[in-house]
Amino acid sequence: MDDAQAVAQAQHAGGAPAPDRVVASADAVVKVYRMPGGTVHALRGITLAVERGTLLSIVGPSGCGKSTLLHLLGGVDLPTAGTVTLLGQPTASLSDAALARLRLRHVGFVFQRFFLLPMLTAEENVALPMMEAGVAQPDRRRRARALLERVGLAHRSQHRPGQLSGGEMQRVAIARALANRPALLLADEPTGELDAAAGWEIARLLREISRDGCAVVVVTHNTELAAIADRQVRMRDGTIA
Amino acid sequence: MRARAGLALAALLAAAIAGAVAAARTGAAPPRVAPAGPLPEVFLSDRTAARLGIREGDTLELAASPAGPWHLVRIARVYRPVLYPTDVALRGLDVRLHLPDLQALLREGDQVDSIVVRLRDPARADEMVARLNAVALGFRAYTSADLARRNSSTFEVISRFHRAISVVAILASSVFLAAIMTLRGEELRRQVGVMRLIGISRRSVAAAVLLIATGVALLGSAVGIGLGYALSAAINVYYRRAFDTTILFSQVTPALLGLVAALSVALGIAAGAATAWRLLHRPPLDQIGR
Ligand SMILES: Nc1ncnc2c1ncn2[C@@H]1O[C@H](COP(=O)(O)OP(=O)(O)OP(=O)(O)O)[C@@H](O)[C@H]1O
Ligand SMILES: [Mg+2]
Repeated sequence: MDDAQAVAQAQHAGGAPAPDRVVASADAVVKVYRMPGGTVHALRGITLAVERGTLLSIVGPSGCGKSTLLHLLGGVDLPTAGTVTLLGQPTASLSDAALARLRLRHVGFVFQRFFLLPMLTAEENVALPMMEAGVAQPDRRRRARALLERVGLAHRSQHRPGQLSGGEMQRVAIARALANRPALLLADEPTGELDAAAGWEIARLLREISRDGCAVVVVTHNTELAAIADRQVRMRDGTIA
Repeated sequence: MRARAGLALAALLAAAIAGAVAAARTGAAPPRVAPAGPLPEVFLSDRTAARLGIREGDTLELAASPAGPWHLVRIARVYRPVLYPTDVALRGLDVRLHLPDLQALLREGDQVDSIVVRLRDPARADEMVARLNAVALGFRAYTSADLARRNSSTFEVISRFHRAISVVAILASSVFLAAIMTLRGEELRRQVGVMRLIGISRRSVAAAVLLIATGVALLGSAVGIGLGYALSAAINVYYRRAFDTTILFSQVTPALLGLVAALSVALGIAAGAATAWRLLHRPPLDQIGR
């Protein structure tokens, strides 16, 4: 990506990204779902850059394409037109397996409904991505414990998700997302199922994580969370408003 | 010769041989054979003794036919016979006599169809059979194992039937297992979707699904084996009481256990492989249920 492009994106997003700080970017991205019942234009030309060390919030009415954009940025799905670049590589040019590797090592996901594996303990859930990445057992154990401590759950490391509250499960999910020291953390309504206090706890954590140098993108309806972001992107009907 | 000694000492003829059926005497007395000397001694099975209401030391009159002549005998012992499974449901009376007494009763001096020889050392049965068949003309010796094999075509059928039942049962339970996996599939699908979203490779996900399926199958076969043992014990208790015998009616053999465990694990792995294949061929985003 050249500087002129980066500047153009910066203007779109309302900030001033330095190219070497850009972790993921979307360039004129269109996403169309073709279905028997008709065609849905989920994204209609989005240009956006996500930088290291910033917390970016995406807000907008339901169905405007927030989750779709998040999935494209994370390399879970591919654009119909335009380019998504993740860590310098256009996602459309990568194989399924290469995308999976990229996600494993560089992208962390946090979901509204936590999606922890119920059979595993908190510590095992956090250790899972490290195991897949080939981190040695003592190291991943140590790191899983450190991450759980960081989210304030050191004492619950041997508990299974069923034994944790929603806020606790979400903090375990955040610890799991951070397992392989990702450059990009994507959170889709991470406070959606939590009460105000637990939601605030999550917001504070995401804030901290971005301060530590991670690029954090959070889709949220939570105004407090949106307000503490470094940048706020408003979407409407598949475009940035 | 040892065989002859065995005969003289312990050869008791199964009274099931035609005609030698004990009849408790009632009504007017037909001709009676009065013994000169001590009464011949007979053995009575416990079931027969119970039905006739008599005990060791009592006397009994036997005849080869209702017309007589009647022979007075003394019950030397009431014993509990080892029954063949075929005899379990039979309710006839039976009595065991010494060979000369039986011949006197039947008045058929040399007309014995078969005699049972109990050996001191059953391990040498084959050798003994070979020797008997080599020395004697006019009869043929068999080991009891041979006889059982010759007479057990019914058992063969029944045991095949049983095996078929267990295979059908195993298949049915595997279908059940597969159904559980599919029902749990909603949960499993989401988990697979999440694992793939966070970048776990297809291979690792498939391995995890297979592991889960194998675990479920192993657990299922453990439960099934436990159930099998319990059922088998219950069947034995019930039929042993019903037929008043010590015969083992149902047995869980190691071979059967092996078959069950192998089958259910194989089916579990197959079900897991099918599930994994199905789950891995759909986009992960569709699986987490947005
Ligand atoms: N797999 C799909 N197939 C068809 N249409 C889809 C699919 N995924 C999303 N859409 C459609 O794309 C549009 C954007 O969906 P998206 O999930 O990105 O919205 P959103 O902004 O996240 O909404 P919400 O706030 O309710 O989560 C919606 O109209 C949705 O129905
Ligand atoms: Mg959404």
